[in-house]
Amino acid sequence: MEQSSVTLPNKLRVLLHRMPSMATVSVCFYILSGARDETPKQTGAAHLLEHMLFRGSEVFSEEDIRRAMRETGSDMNAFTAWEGTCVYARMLPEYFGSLFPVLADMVRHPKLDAADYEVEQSVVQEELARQLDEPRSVMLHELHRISFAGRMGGILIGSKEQIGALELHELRAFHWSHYVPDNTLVIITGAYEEKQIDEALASLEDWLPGTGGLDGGLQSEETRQGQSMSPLSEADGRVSTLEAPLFRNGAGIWGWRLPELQGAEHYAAHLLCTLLGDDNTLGSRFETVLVRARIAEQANAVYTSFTGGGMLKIYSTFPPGQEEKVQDIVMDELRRLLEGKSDPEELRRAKNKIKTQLAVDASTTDSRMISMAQAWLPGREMVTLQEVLNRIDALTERQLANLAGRLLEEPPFQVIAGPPEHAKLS
Amino acid sequence: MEKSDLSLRRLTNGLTVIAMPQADVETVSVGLLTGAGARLEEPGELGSSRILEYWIWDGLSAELADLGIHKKSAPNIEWTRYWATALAPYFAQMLRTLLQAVSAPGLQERSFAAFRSLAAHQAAARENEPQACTADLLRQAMGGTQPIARSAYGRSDGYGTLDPQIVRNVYERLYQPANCVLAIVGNYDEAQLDELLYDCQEKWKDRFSVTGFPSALAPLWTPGIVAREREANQAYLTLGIPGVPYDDDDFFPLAVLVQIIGGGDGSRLYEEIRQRRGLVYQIRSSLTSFRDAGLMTIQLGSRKESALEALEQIILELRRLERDGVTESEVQSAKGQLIKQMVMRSESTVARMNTLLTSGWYPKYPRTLDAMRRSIEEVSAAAVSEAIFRHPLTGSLGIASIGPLAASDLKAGAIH
Repeated sequence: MEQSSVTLPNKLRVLLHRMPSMATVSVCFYILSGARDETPKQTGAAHLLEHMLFRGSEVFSEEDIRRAMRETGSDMNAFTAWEGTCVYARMLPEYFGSLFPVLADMVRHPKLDAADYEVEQSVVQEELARQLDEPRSVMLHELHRISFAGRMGGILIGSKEQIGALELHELRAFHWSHYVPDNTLVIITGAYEEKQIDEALASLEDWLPGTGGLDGGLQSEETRQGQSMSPLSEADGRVSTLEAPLFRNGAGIWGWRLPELQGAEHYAAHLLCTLLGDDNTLGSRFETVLVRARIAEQANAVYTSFTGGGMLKIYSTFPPGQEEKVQDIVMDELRRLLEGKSDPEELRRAKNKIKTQLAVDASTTDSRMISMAQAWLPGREMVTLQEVLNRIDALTERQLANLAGRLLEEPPFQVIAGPPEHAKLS
Repeated sequence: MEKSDLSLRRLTNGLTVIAMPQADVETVSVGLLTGAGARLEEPGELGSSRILEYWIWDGLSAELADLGIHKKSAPNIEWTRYWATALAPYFAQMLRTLLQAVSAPGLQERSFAAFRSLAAHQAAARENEPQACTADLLRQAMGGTQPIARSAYGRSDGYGTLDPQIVRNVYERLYQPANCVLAIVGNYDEAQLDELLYDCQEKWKDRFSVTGFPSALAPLWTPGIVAREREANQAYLTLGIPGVPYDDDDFFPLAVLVQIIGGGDGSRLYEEIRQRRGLVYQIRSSLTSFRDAGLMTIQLGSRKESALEALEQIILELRRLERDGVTESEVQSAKGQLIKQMVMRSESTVARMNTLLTSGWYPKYPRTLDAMRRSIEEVSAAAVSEAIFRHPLTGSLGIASIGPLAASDLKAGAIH
């Protein structure tokens, strides 16, 4: 497997992973700005702009883009996060040469037509309506509201009113500031030919570094760091209870804010989540102490890193009235980790899970691409698959104990959803 | 197109095994499909297949966990499938554990209540997913009291009547090797596979002859509109059109038609309903087929103020198709997309393995990528138009909704 990185003269960073045995090529433009970087008037702009990229660019009309996808059978999509926006495509290798310029022009020169904008605002309102019907999304919004100040205390894609009030010129302003090569990471994985890469990168060399970018008085790294991670006033409270007719079970999210993790600590956080129980709960602590004990139906831990800190969240669904018991058990498990009371095999098992998942991720070009982005983001440097595996292997019980100790320093933020009727078993 | 050799064999105990070695990957995926689902349960057994989905693993999960393996499962009304992916060195242990789970599970009484509770709560959790629930509601509306109308997940309030013996009876009846398909794709050791399969056929024997579907007659769909009103920000709709089973000659023409109607970007409904009018965030059409029946479905979610307009436009588009048919360029474009997407999906050992499970269960479903490509390429615009003629799109339409719309609203929208 051949992994490499290069930085172009215009400061565009590129990660490459050639995988000759694959059937596809995946490419992404990862803009290192997201919803968190919006000014108050731009609330919702990062996400709406991401939508508008697919409405046409200077060179390629919306129909051109759709035809390109149809004729090549490619998948093209995008997502917006708090600190990044990713536009990506997966294609058969023979179409890389024709699709790369389309993707690049969409990112660099979106048309941002007013007539399209009104329709797309409506699409995003539908997306918001859907999110507001999903219990877990609603709870996540609420968790952010009570645990973050500033923009991160709001809804990532904006509220109904904010989406409605957002003006097109704010999208242009956001694009002008943030969609610049020195704020972008390009990742290409799969069965590409080197010549294709040379041509693709050459086509990006005229992309000028940000003239109105991060130095233009907008949200800089320092501002991002100082603003949204500031502590809330006591009046906001750490616990929120939601009641809604859509909630058929009890559900809870517990969230712990963490200071910025360095180096190995970042991997320790992910390992902690796996050990407690992430998407793969098999053999995890939560499976034993919560699910098999019939206290909760499910419980998953996930760690998300942000500039200036991060958040570890545990989501669980349970029969009515069990939230305190679930929380007590979660805290007990953290204390056990702090005290070093764990089965020696647990750590090995959790590491195996992560390593297997990384290998599975490396078996398709798009999941490999996302893995590479996730490994790069914390230190802003390329980390090869083998290095990630080595770092996982090197983690110790003490590092997990230290992390558990940090979580136990303050009580978590909690969002508890109150259920209506619940099926009773005889 | 396919780089690897594919082997198909039937063991002496009736188990069908399909294997595709891929020496250039680091992982291997194994899957097992068993014909255990709601359609095959007796009225007093409903939900048993779901309990078994978890109960058969009791005592065995730790073995997979030690290897870091993520086992998964998915229910359907006429089967349950299990699968897992591991690093190549763990192949034998993974397959051995899977075969033990399905052929000789403990099914201990002491653990039954926990798994029954888990299955019931999964059913309840699904009731939190209105879009998924509308698909179940649609089959109830169009299938009436027939077994095909049952939910694959069961009713959350229906599990209380099940006891261990009822569920064990379902296991004995449906988890027969002749009623199962095993598929392996990836980097595995052939000698290890042969040894494990030999062991399997010696230890796992058929105990009963497998009964077929409850009725010799294929299910009948009847048109119907049903709305489950509840407070929600969107109305979740699923429209249903009677389709065909997997082995029908119209299966691939309808697969191409469904791609044209709502198979993603560039499809008719995506362009008209989302891109031009902004009435939805997601709209998609699918072909759901079973052994003796099928449904074409269109799913969308839309705010109350937009939903009826979206419904009207969908009906208009379906009528347009019935009246004018499809164009040659549409058909060629849809075929190209399906073929290319199929090739891209085959990159994943999991996706390839699941396709092999499907091909093993539904006899006429193409097994190799080349066979699939030929089946799709053979579809002509005339064949699609003839399929529309044989399976009218609006004459037997079913509509199911969960959200703020009433049945009377839907009827009004559909009539226009």
